[in-house]
Amino acid sequence: MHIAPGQASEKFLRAVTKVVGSDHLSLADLDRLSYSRDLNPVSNLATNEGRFGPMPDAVVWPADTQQVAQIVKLAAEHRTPLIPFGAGSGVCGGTVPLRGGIILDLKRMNNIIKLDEDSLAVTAGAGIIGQHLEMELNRKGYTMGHFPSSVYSSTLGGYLAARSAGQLSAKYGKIEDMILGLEAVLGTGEILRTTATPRASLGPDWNQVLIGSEGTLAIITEATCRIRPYPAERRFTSFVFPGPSEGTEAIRQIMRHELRPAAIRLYDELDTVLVGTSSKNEESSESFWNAIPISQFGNFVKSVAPGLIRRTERFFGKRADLINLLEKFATKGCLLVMTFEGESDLVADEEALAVELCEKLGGVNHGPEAALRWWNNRYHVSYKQSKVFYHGAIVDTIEMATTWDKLVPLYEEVRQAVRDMAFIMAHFSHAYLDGASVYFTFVTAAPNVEKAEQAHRAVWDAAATACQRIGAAISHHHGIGYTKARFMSEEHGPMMRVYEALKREMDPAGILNPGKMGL
Amino acid sequence: MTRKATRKTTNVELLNQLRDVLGGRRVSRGETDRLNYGRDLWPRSLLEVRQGQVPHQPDMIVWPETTEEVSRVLRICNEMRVPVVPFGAGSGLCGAAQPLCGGVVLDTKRMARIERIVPETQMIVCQTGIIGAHLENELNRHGLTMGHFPGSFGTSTLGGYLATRSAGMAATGYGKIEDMLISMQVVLADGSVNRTRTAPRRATGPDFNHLFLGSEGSLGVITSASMRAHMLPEARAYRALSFKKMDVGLAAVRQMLRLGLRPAIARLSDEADASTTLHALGVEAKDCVLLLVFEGRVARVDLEMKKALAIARELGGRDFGEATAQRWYGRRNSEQYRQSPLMTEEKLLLDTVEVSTVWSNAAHLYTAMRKALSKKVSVLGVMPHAYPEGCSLAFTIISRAGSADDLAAYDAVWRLALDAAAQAGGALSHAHGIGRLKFDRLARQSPVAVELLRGMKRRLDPNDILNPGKLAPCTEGAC
Repeated sequence: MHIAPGQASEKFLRAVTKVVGSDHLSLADLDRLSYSRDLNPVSNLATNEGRFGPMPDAVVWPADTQQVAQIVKLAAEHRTPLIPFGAGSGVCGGTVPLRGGIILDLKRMNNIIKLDEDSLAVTAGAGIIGQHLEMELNRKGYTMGHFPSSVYSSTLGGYLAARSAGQLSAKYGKIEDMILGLEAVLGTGEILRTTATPRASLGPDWNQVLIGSEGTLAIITEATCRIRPYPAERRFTSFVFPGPSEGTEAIRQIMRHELRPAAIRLYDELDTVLVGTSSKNEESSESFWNAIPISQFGNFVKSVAPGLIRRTERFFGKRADLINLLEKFATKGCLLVMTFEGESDLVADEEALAVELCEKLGGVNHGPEAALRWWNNRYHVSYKQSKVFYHGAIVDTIEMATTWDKLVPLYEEVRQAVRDMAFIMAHFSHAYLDGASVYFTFVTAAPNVEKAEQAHRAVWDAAATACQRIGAAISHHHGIGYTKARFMSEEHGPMMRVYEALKREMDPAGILNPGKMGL
Repeated sequence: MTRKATRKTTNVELLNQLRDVLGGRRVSRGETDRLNYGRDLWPRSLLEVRQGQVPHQPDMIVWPETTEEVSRVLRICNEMRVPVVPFGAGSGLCGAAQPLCGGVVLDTKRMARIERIVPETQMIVCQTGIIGAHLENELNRHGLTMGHFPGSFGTSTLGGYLATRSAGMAATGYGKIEDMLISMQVVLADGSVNRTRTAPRRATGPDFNHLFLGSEGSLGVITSASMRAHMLPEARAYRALSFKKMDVGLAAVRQMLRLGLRPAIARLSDEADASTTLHALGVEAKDCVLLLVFEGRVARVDLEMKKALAIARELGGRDFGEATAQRWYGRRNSEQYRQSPLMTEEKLLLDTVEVSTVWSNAAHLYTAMRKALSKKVSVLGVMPHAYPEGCSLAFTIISRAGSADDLAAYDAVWRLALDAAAQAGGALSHAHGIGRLKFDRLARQSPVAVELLRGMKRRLDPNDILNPGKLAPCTEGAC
């Protein structure tokens, strides 16, 4: 395989090498190849066929903020794209070097700079892996409470840049709720440092402008985040509701009563079958679905996907919604999983009222087992997905958010829009006082990569159209990158003008992660 | 042609165009109106009034009723390069609403319509000219509360809260205005109507709400907003406790929040504040006084209060019971309205310096600021809002006034206060905003952030018509 050399000038690369040292800049094919993609399904598909998209010209590992600032100045001068890179677990192509340039891998900037125990605040470099930060905090008796399923392979900077939300967001908040202050290098090479304080009334909040900007406005190099004491107790509860309407109503009631479960997740009928409502695999002769040994999504993916491809080749053209007919077999209702954590008596109080509310709304108490099983497998899904691609199928997730009054319509209409094209199921995994997110998983297949890409795009177009017709948010926590960039103008309307103004102000040379976010 | 002559001609033309949009009765050039809209409640302006001055007056005042009308007004003013100063109820404390370069004051109070209440989402959509207390009353009728209770509750608007990044007395329990905002409609300088989208959360780029929140009328006019509300609490529990020293009281509140308790209010007065302000409001307690209010379900309120009291006892806090705290709660908003008479009639200079910091720096910031301010003025200190990571600190400063040097003395005290805050690592404002009062100091403390703000101002308002003179001196020719 031959990879053409990049476009970056010799002079520029020499200057960057002088900043970081020759050990920390690579032009090697293998590095350029490895950094040419993240975990987005389109890249996965191509990789599977040995095809690669645009390559970075070089990969650079800066040691500190000063080096980042110097590199940014050089890049601005030479008009060379810079793409900040964490651990590459993004699923929307946010770090794909669409126009070549330099991948700036921040993982060397991974030190914990300060733990302020009185203020419940930790300051760390943007390149620290989520799990490493969490383990270090745990050792001192704290938790950050941020648990995306990618926690082993994602960084603090990535969380901030992509506006991440973890599985325990109902209690601990999302990444934007955890930020106290940050340090970032603007596209001019200037360093912005926001004051680390719980609250200030001093103009626009630049933290919140940079969070979610996915490397298009600045390179976040360091952050001070709030932490919490490690919980004294953790409780698990599960309920089964007749359908998503009843289940989401229970979540709404729980939130409006100001309860803050750590996790609160409702699976629709299909997703419930895959997750399982008991600790053992239930064998039931009436259910075709139950005949397949699946008790969790990971197993499902491994066992069903190859078969799905074969079936797809035979049936999908004619009866694309065949798989969705399996819903008829899924009569177990919707599983609601809740965990509570914190001070024992506070947690007991919250759990008791949550149970009371669920029972009042017709939920059947299934005890702690299903919730415990979810807890034990809570990160697995992310690490098993790529296996589906080995078998030639496409799996992707669509996470959207809306207010309570539109939530069930959003769920129904997106499924309706997609069901002829893919097998689709959903869970509701982040809840708020005023609404919730819905997380769809779809699986489809095609005879070759080109057709698979088309199929993937078609599913997303259909889902996005339904979402935007209802007025819901096109992404709850995965971000936009370039795979969803085409939905941005509808998502924000004229506000994109303001985003463009921010872009010109913060990155006048247009070097920061170009081609992303619909800019 | 002199500048004055230019303005005169412009004014006739402007008046005609604005009357075309709003009709004759919603445009005023009256002397009384121009005088009244020449200032907000910035104490420095009160000093000026006492000296018979209102140095900055608008040329006219307009009262639009819809977003469309705001858009048309801005389009006219943008074309004619006339300054526009958005105005809520004028209770700002930093001079942000002063029409420094004359022009048009755009009073939003006729835009007070509640557009929609979505009960299941606990969301209210309304125009931003609504008075805080009216909005809250309407929510109460539906069994809801926004939980936003600034001291100016009866004389401030939703738009003012958003534009200045307000925080209410119960911010510890219900959050600050940014936590209540879901989405907004904002009209930019060229009249284009823009809005952020409604969802409980989204990961689709920057949060544009946060660009306009706190922009104090410099980037756009916020005309409508969707806000989240909470259920009205079924119970409220009050307690007054006292601590020998301020740092012990601060530690008590810190530990309560760290444990996961969420009082609606945790307000700690130092000895000076307790023996004057609190005493006047009927609180009979010695030393530093902590007022606690828990709201919510009966069982939860009891449980949290029990745990809070255990922490207080452990740190040597004395329990002054419920009645005295309840008395304070009943009179909590009266403070704000006593300030002007004290200044105009009693010849006092009164103001509040409020800052914020993380807990590890709170006692230091308190001591440093009290020490610095005490050299010049009498100081009453309060910790009015607490969060798990830190708190705000507010210092009421009092001195004799009534001489011609009042303004110079006022400016000197504030320089001292902001320098002390900056040196001790405090953020220069917790909830009152920047206005004219703090901008220069802020620009020195956060030059990169301020340059960004100025840059965005140039891009979104290239003719510098929106509230000019606040982020940078007025552009040549604008006034």
